[in-house]
Amino acid sequence: MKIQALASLLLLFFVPSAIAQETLKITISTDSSSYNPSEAVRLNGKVTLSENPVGGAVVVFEARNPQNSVIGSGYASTSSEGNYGKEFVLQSDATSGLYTIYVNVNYQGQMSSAETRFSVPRTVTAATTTQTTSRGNALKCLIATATYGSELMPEVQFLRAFRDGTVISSFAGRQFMVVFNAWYYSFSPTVSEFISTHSIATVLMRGALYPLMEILRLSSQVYSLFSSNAELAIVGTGLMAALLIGGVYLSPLMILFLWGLNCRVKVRARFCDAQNTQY
Amino acid sequence: MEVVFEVRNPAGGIVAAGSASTGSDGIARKTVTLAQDAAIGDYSLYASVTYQGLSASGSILFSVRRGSHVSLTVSMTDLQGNPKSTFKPGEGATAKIVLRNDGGTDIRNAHMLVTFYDSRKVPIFFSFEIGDLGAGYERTSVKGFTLSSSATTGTYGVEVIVLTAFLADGGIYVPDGSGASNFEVTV
Repeated sequence: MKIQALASLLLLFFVPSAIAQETLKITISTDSSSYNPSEAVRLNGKVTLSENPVGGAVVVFEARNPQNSVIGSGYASTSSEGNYGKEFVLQSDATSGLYTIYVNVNYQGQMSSAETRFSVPRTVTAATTTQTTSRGNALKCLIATATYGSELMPEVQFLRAFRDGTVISSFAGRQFMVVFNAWYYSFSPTVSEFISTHSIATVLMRGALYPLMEILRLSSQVYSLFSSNAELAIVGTGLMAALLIGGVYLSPLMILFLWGLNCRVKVRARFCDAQNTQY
Repeated sequence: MEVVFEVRNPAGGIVAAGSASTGSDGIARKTVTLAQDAAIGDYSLYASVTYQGLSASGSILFSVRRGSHVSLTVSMTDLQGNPKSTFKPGEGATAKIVLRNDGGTDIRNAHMLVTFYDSRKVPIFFSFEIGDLGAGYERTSVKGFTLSSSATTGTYGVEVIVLTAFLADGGIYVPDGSGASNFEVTV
């Protein structure tokens, strides 16, 4: 019995190295979700190993434009706090649309990757610029921020980039945003406050927003197909998004409604049959 | 109780030995750091314990392998390959990149990404090269471009990274596969 206990002890002696798997993690964000041509893009992030900062690690990055061509690459080292930063400046003729930055770190045999997106808006008039693209006054995605916990989360950045880089790049899109903002900001502060103070609401909203995120990702692909004509592209994108959003979010309600209607008709028919039988 | 252990390298030599005490959970923990130049191959770890006149022992095998690892140097040259650190607008600026696979395994489809930045950190020229790099082999590449005749003066830079594939395609950084060099552009 004691021998068995000793054998178990020896087994445990080796187990920790197998189960104590440390996890390398890298984060990335940009200091804005939208930049104009010739503006500096500042990347920031952190590398951790089992939540402890990793200093002296090399982080590599690859920046791609809306056409998915590499526009730049490079590297940076992490500080003793695990932080890294990198800056590059967009070309003066940078094309409008969504840009993606990919980063990777390879440290002590473990790898971690992350990506973030930002937009370069199409040149707009001064009157419309103040509406949504001014960095200091950028309208916030309140519900998404409350749901995902931070403005820096990729989902929130994607939504902002979609708005600033895709929707407002056309006249039709800007007109849509005027109406949408009037409606959205009439209730979003209250809803976002509720979400941020109720964890169950956060979980439910993440589930509820998931189809929307995927629909918008798909729609942004449609936009890039027709990006040579911004007006046509935004109308196509809007129609597709509206159809899919309607299909995903309204179809369950429609099914319930039709099912209820069907039941009501059946109940009424039975009632009539019963009355006919009595007579 | 004390658990005594020793680690033997592939040749049978002892590379680490010692003991560790069990904690309240009955687990003994010990960290052993292998030397930078540790021999590649199968290592053995032996452990034994004696308790109240009874003894037990056990062993386990583990492998040491060297991952992908390169060395990279970047230097600026003129079009003839001579070292040069100052250029004029309209001149050709060239980076000479020497990449060596110091790891124990071949690197298939090594992606070398090269970006030149101007003095404002605007990426002005990007180039890449894809090729196999056998273990122990060295490859010299030359990447260059012609500076615009209206190029602004100041300190320019070139940054080189080596990946297993483009990051957008799931590539990863090859350790030590990064290098940079600066050069001046003057009138």
